[in-house]
Amino acid sequence: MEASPVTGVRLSSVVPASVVGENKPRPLTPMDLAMKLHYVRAVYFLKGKRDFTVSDLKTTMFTLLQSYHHVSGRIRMPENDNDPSSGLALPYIRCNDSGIRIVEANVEEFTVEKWLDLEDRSIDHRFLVYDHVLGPDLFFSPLVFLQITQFKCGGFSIGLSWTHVLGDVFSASTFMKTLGQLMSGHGLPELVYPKTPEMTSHDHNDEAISIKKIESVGNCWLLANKCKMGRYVFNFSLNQLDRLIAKYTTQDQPLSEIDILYALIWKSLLNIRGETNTNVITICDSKRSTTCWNDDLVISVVERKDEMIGISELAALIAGGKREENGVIKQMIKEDRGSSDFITYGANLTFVNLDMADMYEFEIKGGKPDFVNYTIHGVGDKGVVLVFPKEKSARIVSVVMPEEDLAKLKDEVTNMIM
Amino acid sequence: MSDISSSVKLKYVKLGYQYLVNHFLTLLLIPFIATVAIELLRMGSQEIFTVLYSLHFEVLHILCSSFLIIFVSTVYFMSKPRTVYLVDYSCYKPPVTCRVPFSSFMEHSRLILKDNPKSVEFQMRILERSGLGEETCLPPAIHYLPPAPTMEAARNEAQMVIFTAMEDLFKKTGLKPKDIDILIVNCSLFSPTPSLSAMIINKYKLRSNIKSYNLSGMGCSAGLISVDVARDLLQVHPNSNAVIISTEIITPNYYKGNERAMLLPNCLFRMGGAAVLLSNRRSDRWRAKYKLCHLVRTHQGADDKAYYCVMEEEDKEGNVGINLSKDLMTIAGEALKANITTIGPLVLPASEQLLFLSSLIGRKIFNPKWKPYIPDFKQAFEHFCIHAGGRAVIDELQKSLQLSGEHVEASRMTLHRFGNTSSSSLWYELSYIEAQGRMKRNDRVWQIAFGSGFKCNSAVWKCIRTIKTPTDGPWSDCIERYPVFIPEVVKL
Repeated sequence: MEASPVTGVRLSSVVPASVVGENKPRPLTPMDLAMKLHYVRAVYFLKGKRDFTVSDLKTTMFTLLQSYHHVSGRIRMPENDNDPSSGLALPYIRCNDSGIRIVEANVEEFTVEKWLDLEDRSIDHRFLVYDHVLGPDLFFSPLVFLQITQFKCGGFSIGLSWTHVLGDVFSASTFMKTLGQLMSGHGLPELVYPKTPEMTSHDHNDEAISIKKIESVGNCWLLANKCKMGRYVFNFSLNQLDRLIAKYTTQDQPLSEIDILYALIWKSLLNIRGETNTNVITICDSKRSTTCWNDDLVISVVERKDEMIGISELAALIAGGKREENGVIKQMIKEDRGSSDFITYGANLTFVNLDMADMYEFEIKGGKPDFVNYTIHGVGDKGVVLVFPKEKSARIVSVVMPEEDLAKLKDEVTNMIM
Repeated sequence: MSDISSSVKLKYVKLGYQYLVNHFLTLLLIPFIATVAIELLRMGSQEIFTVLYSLHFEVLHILCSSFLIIFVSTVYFMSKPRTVYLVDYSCYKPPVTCRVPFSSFMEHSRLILKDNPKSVEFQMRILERSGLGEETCLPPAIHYLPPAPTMEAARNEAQMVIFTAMEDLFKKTGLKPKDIDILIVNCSLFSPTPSLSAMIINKYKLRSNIKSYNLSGMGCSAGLISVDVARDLLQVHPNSNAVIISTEIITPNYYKGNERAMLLPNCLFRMGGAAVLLSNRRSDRWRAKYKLCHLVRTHQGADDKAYYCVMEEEDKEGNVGINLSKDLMTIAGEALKANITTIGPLVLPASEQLLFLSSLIGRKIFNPKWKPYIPDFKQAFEHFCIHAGGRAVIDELQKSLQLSGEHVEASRMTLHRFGNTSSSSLWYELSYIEAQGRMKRNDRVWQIAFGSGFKCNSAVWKCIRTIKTPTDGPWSDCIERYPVFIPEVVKL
């Protein structure tokens, strides 16, 4: 699909229902800055006629934002700050109740079902999520865009674009889950804002290899990729997973499904890219499964030695050979003092473990989504792999990769599953 | 020390003078009554009867005199103007989905005017000094980027504001729609066909012989003009009630251009509306809150400068907006002076009028350089409701009338919480005073409104029963936070 099937686009703003932010600053921690150039994008599909309308969704959003002070704020850079007494050296969020941007749109030619029947799942993120980026006018760039698209059948898709500095994929999915709960008539939850984490000191001045330092992007927080990135969603059924486990696990070395899936993709890419390019992978875990602030992420690296080429070996390495780099990352970013920027997803081949929470838990008045598609925007050239469960019946592997690698990856994975 | 003692002495002299002049007649009457009473007591009942018999009253005389007395008092009561009672009123509180925080308004302005950084700067500066708060509201159509002001959206806003206010009024007063005798709607800038009053008659199925009026184009002072029309109608129609709807529909009037003089209304005008029930029925006297004492309208339209100072016109690009001239404040001051000159003699106590008269005579005859005496209106009124047209208007009036911060508090807080809601702002201010529990029986309120043309209208109400702090109303959920301190400049 080349031309956009989306028509009738209207932008408006939704703000918190009462005064909540009070212009308070919310500082961005070094871990937030490690994620600065990434955006979480999600599309939820709801087929068929429902008993709520777009204005109901908008109205509920006003109430939802009363809990989310930081989501309604705007980025401030310390040099532009009018308030000299704030004393912050890093960029921060001013919680000034500016709110989020809502996009209302229509797709006239397709029903939700026909849309989901199409082969290419990258269309979800090209057309049903607003192409949102922070900047060039940072003062007035919303941190979240929500696109509500109505289809011919009366069904909806809700496309969320969530700046990673607000929190990781779990935070975004909790935001959506809470929206669903509010629409269904439950009460407003209290969001617990973390206290500023302490900096643990390190005696070693190692360079972190999980993140990559790049030139400062200035006021437009978007990464420029060297090659065109593509997206694909693999669906692994329970049977396929069982077969994989049977194939690669041995008695004395029990491996989890996740480790095997990671190893599978890693092996495929080793075959595609060659061995020198893919020696290191980054693994992102989170300490919690609900609102996950960036400081709750655990970023580790796994380094491959030359002899390890089998999937079982790789899986075993992943299970046992992770090295956490959080401390080193924070040190590196703190010492940089904002002169350059960093990327985490795609600096190396990155795997994100989203196993703890079910994206399909989103529910409005008893109606569950028919399909949920999560991805990351603004990913480095090495690519990112998101693994999350689908209602205990399958595993979704959402991949962002340079297009040329992606074509070959599909074949490789298909071969390996057989 | 001597300064303080001399100012205290002056204060007591002033108080003594005021008491003497204002109660002159009473003070004269007291010695007279005292003398008569002493005489009567001295004479004793026998002597009184003898005096009375000696006057030779005959039955005919007594009958004629009593007939005369009855006739004179009947003529007096019949020709007295009917008292107009304000039974109750309700102000519209917009839903939270219409809320426009400062930062959101500035962001939208910037995104809409992005080709004109100078206009954006100008609008930011106005907003910073406007005195508006974080909870003012704009109608849903204006929340879109760019705003989508269709006629349908304007009608929707009108329905939302007016019907909600009316339903609240029905609930508060127990009024049945079929009992409305007179309906007056004033909305300056949105005047569709059929009119807004027809829209209300259609919605609530009002009687076919209702007297309905729709005032448009009369600016922010139209609320008091509606009260004037209602008062005149209630003199002609006995045993009737009148419902007044004062509102301003923002949707069609959002200025889309970038001419600086026309950007100001965008920053100040906000959603709002009020529904008021007036009555001349005796039976309503016991539940009414206020009675109308005076209503004075002054029109400066004969003067060209005043006529052109608030002008709706097209800018160079064809966008329609309201052009506010630079001498708006001067003209407002002149209009106020004209209004005060008329209303002063009606409301000021005799002491102030005497002082004003002597100062006037002194300036004419003796020395024109004497400072004109500004009568102290604080002695005539307990509460002031100055139309919340903008911070500058309130400041100007506070200075001219020499009012304290507390007197203009209702106006400033209404501007902060609701913005400039045009003709209905006076009712929000009255509601504020009631919500603060300051309205007591026999308190007098002065409502002053300015409007294009240039008009200055004022109304004087007297509170006829102490009002218990209302549990509902537009201030019910936020009154504990008020009064707030409003900084000179609010930084983004």
